[in-house]
Amino acid sequence: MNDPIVEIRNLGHVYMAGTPFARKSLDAVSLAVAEGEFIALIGPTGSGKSTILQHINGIYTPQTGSVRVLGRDLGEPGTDLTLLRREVGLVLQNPEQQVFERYVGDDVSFGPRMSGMSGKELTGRVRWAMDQVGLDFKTYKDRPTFALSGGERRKVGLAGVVALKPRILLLDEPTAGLDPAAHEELLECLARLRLQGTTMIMATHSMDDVAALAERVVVLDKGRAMLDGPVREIFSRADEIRSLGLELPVATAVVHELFGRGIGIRRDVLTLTEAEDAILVALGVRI
Amino acid sequence: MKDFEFLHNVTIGQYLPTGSVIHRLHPATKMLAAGLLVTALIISATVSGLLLVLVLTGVGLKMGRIPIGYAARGIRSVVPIIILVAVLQILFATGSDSGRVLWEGWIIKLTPRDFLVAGTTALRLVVLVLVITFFTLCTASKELTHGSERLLRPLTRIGFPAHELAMVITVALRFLPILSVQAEHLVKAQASRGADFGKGRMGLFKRLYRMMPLLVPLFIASLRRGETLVLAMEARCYTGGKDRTQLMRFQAGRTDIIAICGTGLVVGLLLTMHYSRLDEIIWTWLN
Amino acid sequence: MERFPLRKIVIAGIMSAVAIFLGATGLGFISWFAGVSITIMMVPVIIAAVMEGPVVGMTVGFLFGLFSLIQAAVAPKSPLDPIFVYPWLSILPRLFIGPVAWIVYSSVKRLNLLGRSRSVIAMVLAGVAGSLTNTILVLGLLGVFYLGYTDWLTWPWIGSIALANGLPEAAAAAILTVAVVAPWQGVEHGRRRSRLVDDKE
Repeated sequence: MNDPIVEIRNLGHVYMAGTPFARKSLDAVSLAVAEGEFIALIGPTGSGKSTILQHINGIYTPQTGSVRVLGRDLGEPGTDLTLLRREVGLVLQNPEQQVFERYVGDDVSFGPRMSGMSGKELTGRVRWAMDQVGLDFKTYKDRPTFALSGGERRKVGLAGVVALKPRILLLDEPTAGLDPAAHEELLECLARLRLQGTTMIMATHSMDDVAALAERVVVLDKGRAMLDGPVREIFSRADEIRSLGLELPVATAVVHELFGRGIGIRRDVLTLTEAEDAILVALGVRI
Repeated sequence: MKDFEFLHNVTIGQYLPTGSVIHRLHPATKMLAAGLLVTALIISATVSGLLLVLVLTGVGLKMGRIPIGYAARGIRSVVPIIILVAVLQILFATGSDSGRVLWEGWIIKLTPRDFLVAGTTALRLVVLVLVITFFTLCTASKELTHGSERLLRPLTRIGFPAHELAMVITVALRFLPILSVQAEHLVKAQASRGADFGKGRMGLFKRLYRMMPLLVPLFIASLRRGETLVLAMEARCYTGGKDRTQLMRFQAGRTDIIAICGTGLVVGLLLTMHYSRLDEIIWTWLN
Repeated sequence: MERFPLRKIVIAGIMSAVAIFLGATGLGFISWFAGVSITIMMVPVIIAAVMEGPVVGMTVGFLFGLFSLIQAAVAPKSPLDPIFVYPWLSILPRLFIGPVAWIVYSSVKRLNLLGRSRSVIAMVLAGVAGSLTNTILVLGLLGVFYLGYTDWLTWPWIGSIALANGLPEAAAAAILTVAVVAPWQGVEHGRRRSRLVDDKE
């Protein structure tokens, strides 16, 4: 494994520190991410997933512990966080809300434009970003943003971050609230970005998304990292996952249920195709 | 990182719950008393009257179990400004040519009357600020809905939509914390793609354009939430009007009558002092 | 209830909240130079009036005024703030922002000769008119009641503030009104395409 490009050590964070509304959101979390990994952060609401993401692109600077990203120490006062954010893109929940320009092309180009890009280079970058999220450049670039559907608008929001060509992409609940078709398209788009070599860290409640995309899972609870390992291994520990109030991916849940009813079946299953295979093997139809 | 949390906790004034007899007054009583006092102070500004209100506010704070130091800290920020205004007035006020001249030079002429006028203005502002501060310290913002509805009820007879106005105030107060969260989310999202909201030196309109990524989505998201709220309220069969019952009931009691009568008495005294020119009498007597 | 549909009540409440929020967080003040700043706090009033009519505009103006009265008392920012505890300075002028903006908006919108861009022109003019109403009434009342409150509070001073603050505020109000209301109502205007240059050949 190469040197980690994100290295978090004993990170603690108190939200609204020093006010009567102070609330502990992180409690000594450590996490190392290697270049090119796709990591999913899962855990109940309030377990600190978003707070970790917001530390990695410098929205928050560490109160206790340390965060190193792409060789920069974010606790250091001199670190240029604006420069960092061009390499570490953060897509917050409901990115459709951040769309503010009148035309799609202008909104997607906002980030690169703020970093000084212009002319044909800018157009090329916007075209590339829109391709990545599955928006046809010609059709959409001059479309007024108010005339978009919810799913299209979310893609525009995502493209606005992707347009920065970040080395690390942080995603907070990217698929929440999408209809099934838009959901499927977004997963494809994330898979495409991953193939480009982008390191991705995604906070999510959808275990099926985790099963479909991630290779490693970190399970958080009350601001602590409880479990950390390859997706297959973590989801095979069904009881631990459930005791934290979390679900299993649908396919995994099915085979665990069958196993619980005394059927001899392999349980390291993530996707529906794998579940189908496992069931056929268990039934003796396939070997 | 304080940068992104500055938007939280928007309060109108500072509420200090102590559960005292003053806090337990009917919201309408508190609003009426504060309104009457402020009006009286605006109409009449006699030194004797102001001193009377100052002393009575002190007594009120004691009864409200609000430390006088705490209330005074609230008005501390106002004092330098008031002093500045008073000094300017003493130095440059013109008109009062009659009477003794204490010192004269350049364009400055100091007369005892200047000091009286400036002192009265300054004292009046201090007292006004103190009364309003006292009111916000003993009235939770959610009480304002009930108070305004009760106060405006007599006006419904002439067709004034009192209930509707109270409902507007409720929506506004309930919406403020949501707005804070929304704004914080937007600031983070836009910062993540390179927005800087106009720090440093730049022209006015450049600064305005730097604010657009925050302001435009803030308005649009608020309007969207408004639409959702309308649908949600209609789905729950909300109908306004006088027949609507309330979860929280405030009962006006004997203390309310005493409070209103007391305030009425003070207001009467203030106006008497004003129209009988009590200050003039004391002033001539002192000279 | 028929006179005041739920939508009007909710929009009035929400735009009042936005005005208060802009004031309480300082987002509603855009600093210029040497501590001078212009305000955009009247924009929610104008938007409410343009979208929902004069009564909603007046309601938002009233609550915005009431809030600025309390704010002037509890957290003053300028030497003149203490006299804004007087309701005829802090509340009265704000009642007129909405109705004026609405009258301008609805009458310009009816002018057929302006062609299809008339609703955007109406929004611009509503923003300008609403903002100028605020400036002229506040400063005018200040002049009428408080001339000589301090020696520098004179008509020439008031006139210079009206120009230096009032005009940029009117422009800012127009820009924001269009930026919010046009997309909300699905009105396209201006270039009708993005600013991206063509990158082919």
